[in-house]
Amino acid sequence: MTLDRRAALNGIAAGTLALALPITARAQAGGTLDQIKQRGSLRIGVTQAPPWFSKDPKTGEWSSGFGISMGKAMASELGVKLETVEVTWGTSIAALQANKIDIMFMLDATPERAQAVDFPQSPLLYYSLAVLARDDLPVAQWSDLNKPSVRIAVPQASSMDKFVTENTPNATIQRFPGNAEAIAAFQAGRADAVCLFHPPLLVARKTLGTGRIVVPKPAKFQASSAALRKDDKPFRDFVDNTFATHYKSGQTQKWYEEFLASFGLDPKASPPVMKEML
Amino acid sequence: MYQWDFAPVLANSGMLAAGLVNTLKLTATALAFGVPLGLGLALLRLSRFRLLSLPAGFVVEFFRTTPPLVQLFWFFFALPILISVEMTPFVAAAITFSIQSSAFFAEVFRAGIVSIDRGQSEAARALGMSGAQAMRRVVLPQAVKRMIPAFMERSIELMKTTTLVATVSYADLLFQANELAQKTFRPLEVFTVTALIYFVVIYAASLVVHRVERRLATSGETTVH
Amino acid sequence: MNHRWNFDAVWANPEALLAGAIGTLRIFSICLVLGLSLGLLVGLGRYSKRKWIYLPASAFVEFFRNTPVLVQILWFYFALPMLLPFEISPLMAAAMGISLNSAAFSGEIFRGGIQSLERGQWEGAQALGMTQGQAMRRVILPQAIKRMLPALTNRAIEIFKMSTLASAVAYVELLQQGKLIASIHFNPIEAYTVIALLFFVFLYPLVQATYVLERRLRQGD
Repeated sequence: MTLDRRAALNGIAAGTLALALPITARAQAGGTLDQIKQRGSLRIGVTQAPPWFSKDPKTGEWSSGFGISMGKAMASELGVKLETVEVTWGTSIAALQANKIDIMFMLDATPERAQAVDFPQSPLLYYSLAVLARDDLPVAQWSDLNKPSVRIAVPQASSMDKFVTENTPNATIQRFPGNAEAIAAFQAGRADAVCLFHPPLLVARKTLGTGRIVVPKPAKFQASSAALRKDDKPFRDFVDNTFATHYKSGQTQKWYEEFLASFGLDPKASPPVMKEML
Repeated sequence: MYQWDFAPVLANSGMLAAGLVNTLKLTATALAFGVPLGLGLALLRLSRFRLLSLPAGFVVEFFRTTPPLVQLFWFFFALPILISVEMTPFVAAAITFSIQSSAFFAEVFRAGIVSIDRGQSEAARALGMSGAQAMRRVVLPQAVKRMIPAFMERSIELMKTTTLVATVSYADLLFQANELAQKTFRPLEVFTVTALIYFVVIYAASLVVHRVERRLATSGETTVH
Repeated sequence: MNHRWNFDAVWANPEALLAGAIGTLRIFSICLVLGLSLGLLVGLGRYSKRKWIYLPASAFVEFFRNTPVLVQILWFYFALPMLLPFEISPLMAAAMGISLNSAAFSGEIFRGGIQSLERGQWEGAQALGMTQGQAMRRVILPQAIKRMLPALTNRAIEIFKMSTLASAVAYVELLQQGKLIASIHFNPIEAYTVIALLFFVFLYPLVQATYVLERRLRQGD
């Protein structure tokens, strides 16, 4: 084959490849708020983690969960649609940086994360850190878990991961991509305990039917937040405002209780997400 | 312009090195169990008794036809519930890849054994050897020599397949890369370095395979794939 | 063993499984087409005598054959977007990883197929007055294809199995749906068994068909 023929074929190949990959130009102009209005949608990061986010297998839609309710409220306030993008706790920050999502709910503000992303001043909600443990595992304090014979499952790079790594370093810690896999590990007996925020454990315990939920002492009741792209004051102020408004009006607690009730859990018997209600 | 910054990766190179060691450990273990298991399956498949050959055939076909990631999830999350045995992530991964690779090795063994001239085993039998002795002393040694390149290629495939454990909690190289990327928020540098590490290790292994293949070819051995 | 079997929860979600099956077929067909067509070009490139075509093609083959596909998929999904101004969806990242890997392998199959033909075929075609291009198109390639078909069908089956790797970036295919069902109903045994069986039931007849195809082709020689 002649030189020209070969070169032409290679050129055609490269061109065809370029066309085959549909290119979605990222909105370049302006801050997050402008991009959202231009695009017509607010993109929130989601991961299978009821009661925060849950996907409906029948429709494939991320249709329920506290995060979805908050997201819908924010989207309608901005006059745009809500768009869900599946991530994991550990990759959500990278997703923000790569402009795949505009906001990730349920991420705690830590100094390490604050180097890469911003957090609003107002808290999103409050939660306790808890474990779902095997019935025969004696747990009353965090130090009870701090032994190599105790296998703890946590989602990779979550606040639970950080807490357990720092406070129970002697335990055998298994890190999974998300809440679902960590719970599955517990269900399969690969872990003696799974550590998550208290509410997700309630949901898991209800369906699993075994295991004890314990809030080990000293109890960690702290605020969770949402991660935003760095140096975007207008969007940050908007989010700050939204969180404060819904928290003070009790709407935050209400959305949370709605999900619990829809799942068959009694909101009165479950831990609140407002610290004033403790 | 993206600001490249490899410093966090280099600072944590120990993490990646530990991951690489685990990858090699898992690959070696799966090979150590997969090869003899594969031989057993191949011999069962070649047996005249249908009671032996049919189940063996099913196992081989099943593990060659289903995706390895599905197998891994099954062994990781489903099996422990069924048999209530405690398994570390390493054990679960080792079991998965031993069985998975044994199915492929079984086919290599079978092709190799079948390729040996029938005359050889008949001659062995004429010399007074039993069927099993003929297999052990005459057929297998020759078959193994022919199958060496295919084995080595399968082993390299196995090393690549072990990356799947990063999606469950075994701390191999790819898992460590995920950890590091999520800790340093520098996915580009981390994954680029990781890809290069895999490439260097696997490419070196494949060069060894090529040399062995050429040696066998020049010494007059035919090979099977 | 005290296990409450719960297959119903799996079958009660036919929409979920269907969505997964469609996703699997979609990424499979994309990667098959991209992988084989790029592979053909790469194979031809490796057959070239010109260094500036041969060397990049060889580098491509060596790199994408010797790096794990999952690493490539994660690189395309997490690393590449840092360099480019546009978004890369899970489908794009997974399709790129699987296609490039398949192109490298099928490139070698194509190269081997073309090389394995005797010189006599070339000379015979040229004696008939064909140009190099015509000889390639009308004589060499059709015969080479007949010889490469078994290896290519094996490659296609490998691509089908590799579709499950897309679940690592949350692309909706069969395994991802299995994971979803398992996490909502806490029935991993049933969920993953069903997914494994679905793959087996679909692929096994195809694998048997390739054996038959192989035997027929060998008889034809």
